[in-house]
Amino acid sequence: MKSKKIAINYPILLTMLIPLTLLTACGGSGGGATSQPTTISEPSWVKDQFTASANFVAQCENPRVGSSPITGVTYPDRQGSELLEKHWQRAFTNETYLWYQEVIDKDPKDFGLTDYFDQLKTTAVTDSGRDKDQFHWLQPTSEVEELTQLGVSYGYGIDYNRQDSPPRQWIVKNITPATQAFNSAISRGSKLLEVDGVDFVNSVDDADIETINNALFSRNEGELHSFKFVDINDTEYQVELQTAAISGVPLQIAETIETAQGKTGYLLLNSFYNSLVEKDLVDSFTTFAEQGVSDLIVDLRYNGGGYLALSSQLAYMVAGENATSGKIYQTTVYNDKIANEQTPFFNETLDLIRLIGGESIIQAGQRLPSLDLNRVYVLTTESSCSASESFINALIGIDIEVIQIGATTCGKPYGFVSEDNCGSTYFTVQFKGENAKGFGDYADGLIPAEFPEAGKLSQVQGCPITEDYQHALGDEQEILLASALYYQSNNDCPELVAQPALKKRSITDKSISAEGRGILEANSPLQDAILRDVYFDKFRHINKGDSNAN
Amino acid sequence: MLTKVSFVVKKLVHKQAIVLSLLLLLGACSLHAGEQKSALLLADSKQARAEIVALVSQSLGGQNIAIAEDVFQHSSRLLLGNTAVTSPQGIKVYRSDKTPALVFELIKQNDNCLLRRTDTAQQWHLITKRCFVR
Repeated sequence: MKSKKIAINYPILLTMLIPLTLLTACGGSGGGATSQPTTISEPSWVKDQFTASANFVAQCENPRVGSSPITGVTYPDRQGSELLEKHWQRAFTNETYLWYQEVIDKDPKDFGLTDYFDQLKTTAVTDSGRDKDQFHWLQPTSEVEELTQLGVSYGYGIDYNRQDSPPRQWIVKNITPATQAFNSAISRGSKLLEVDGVDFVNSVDDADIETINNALFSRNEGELHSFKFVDINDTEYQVELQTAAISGVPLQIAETIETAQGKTGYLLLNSFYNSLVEKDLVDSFTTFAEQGVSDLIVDLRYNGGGYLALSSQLAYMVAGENATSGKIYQTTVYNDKIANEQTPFFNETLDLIRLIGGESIIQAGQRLPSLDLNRVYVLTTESSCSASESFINALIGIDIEVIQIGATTCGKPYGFVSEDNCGSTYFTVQFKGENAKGFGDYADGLIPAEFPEAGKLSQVQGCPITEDYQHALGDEQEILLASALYYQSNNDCPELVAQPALKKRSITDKSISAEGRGILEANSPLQDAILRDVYFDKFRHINKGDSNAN
Repeated sequence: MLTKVSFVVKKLVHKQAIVLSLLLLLGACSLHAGEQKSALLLADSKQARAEIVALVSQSLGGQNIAIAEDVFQHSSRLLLGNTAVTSPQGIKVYRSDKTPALVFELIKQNDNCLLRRTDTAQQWHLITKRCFVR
């Protein structure tokens, strides 16, 4: 058989190869890692004697190989053991946990991985009897790394007040503007009755629960689901909604209300977790200042927190230069091994969106507008959390009078820097926020009180009122806003009289009746802590009976 | 056996091929060296958005990423951040620090629309041509 010589035409080959090379160069580089065999030495435990967490880090029972599909960073893991992971937990806690001195040191060998971490926390309780530490857990890093466009989440744009155990009660409390739900007939205060034809209130059957969860927590854009509601007038109605990527509207309402006392500004601010809102706030306060607004109601009832810097800017825009100059917005207090940090009242634009990688939407370094108020009304519920609580506490810390109208806040003066080790991410309280007077112990929340008790700094002057859903947000008849306006006129809390026919409440003069004071039944603090948008939350699917199960 | 003429012709062919190769190389370079400018998407670019959603997901290991309907219509940068986590008691916890976002950028280069992931410098040619320099 003759072999045939193939003439290689190098120029043509070159012609083909060069563009291919260039195209390859357009792409990114991949990475991989191989674990190296190591000799595992098991550490021994000696009570109250600690070595650095660096001695145990990334020595894993099941080391990950390769790199994170999200960040591209190569996993540092190498072969270790569960015992080494538990010793890392112990050392990490001793180094960074705010209350490390209150942790009873126990032998890691006596526990499983999760159980050991669970007990690496204080057992102290608050005045109300709940655990001082409500923020201690671990979960797979792959879940924690989940990303979303900032301010965007899957769902329908409906926020509910949720009671998850049968008979379930989900009440519409807010609807995101410019969504299908907003443009449909769904009204505030409506209760969810059926989902895709399944009884939402009472179902316990597994298949039904799955149907409900698949609809309520769908992440499939365009998927159509039906929802039956009953409104506050007991009229049932049904809507069909498509799952969508919902863009949150952090500053939902900014308006001026004419009152006998003058112009009153009203802001419904639903999140500090959206760097775009900086410009919106500057625009609103500029308008308020131009209009001569002399009182302000900041509605943080659904604001779960976010960027501390934004809440600091908001506080400055309320209080102004004289009240804040040289004052500290919040001192971040770590344990005695880590230096404290201080956050000022930011009096300039920061262009936060640019700082985190976006395009500039406002020039940094411009002096913020301010109203120079010495009193502000803040509307709260149990959903008011974290940076929202910092806003209240910081203003109190510089002697601005805060009138808190609504329910006790969630109670999160704490924070942490989550840490990955061996594929688990650890959340443990590492700092607390204190105001300029050194107060930050409000683990039970900031509590509106008509007559705050002496020395109880977590009690804030104001009116304890549970919100209802009888009126639209921003409506002057809405119960919390109406109560703030009443307080503004009367320097006192309103009497709330129940109107049995429609179970509505109205504000009336105090002299009419003290018996009618209609504080509705309250949920438990933990139930109420769940009053937030469902579409942002993948962990709290409904279930058969346990109101707090995941 | 090559005649002198055929040798000359063949030599010329080789030269032409080299010239062609260089021209293509230059063309490729000019394509890649063409000025890249931040771009926006035209309104009502549903197909373009779908393409972007798929590419972003692919770039992030197949994660299903919630991306706004009007992505790249107001800004040429798409910022991704961690979702809120939820404590065992059901309280959502936001990150309060100014952690840099993971950024994708829409770029126009010549007539092409490109999507670039800034931390890895990866970029993808989009099928859509519905982008414009802002």
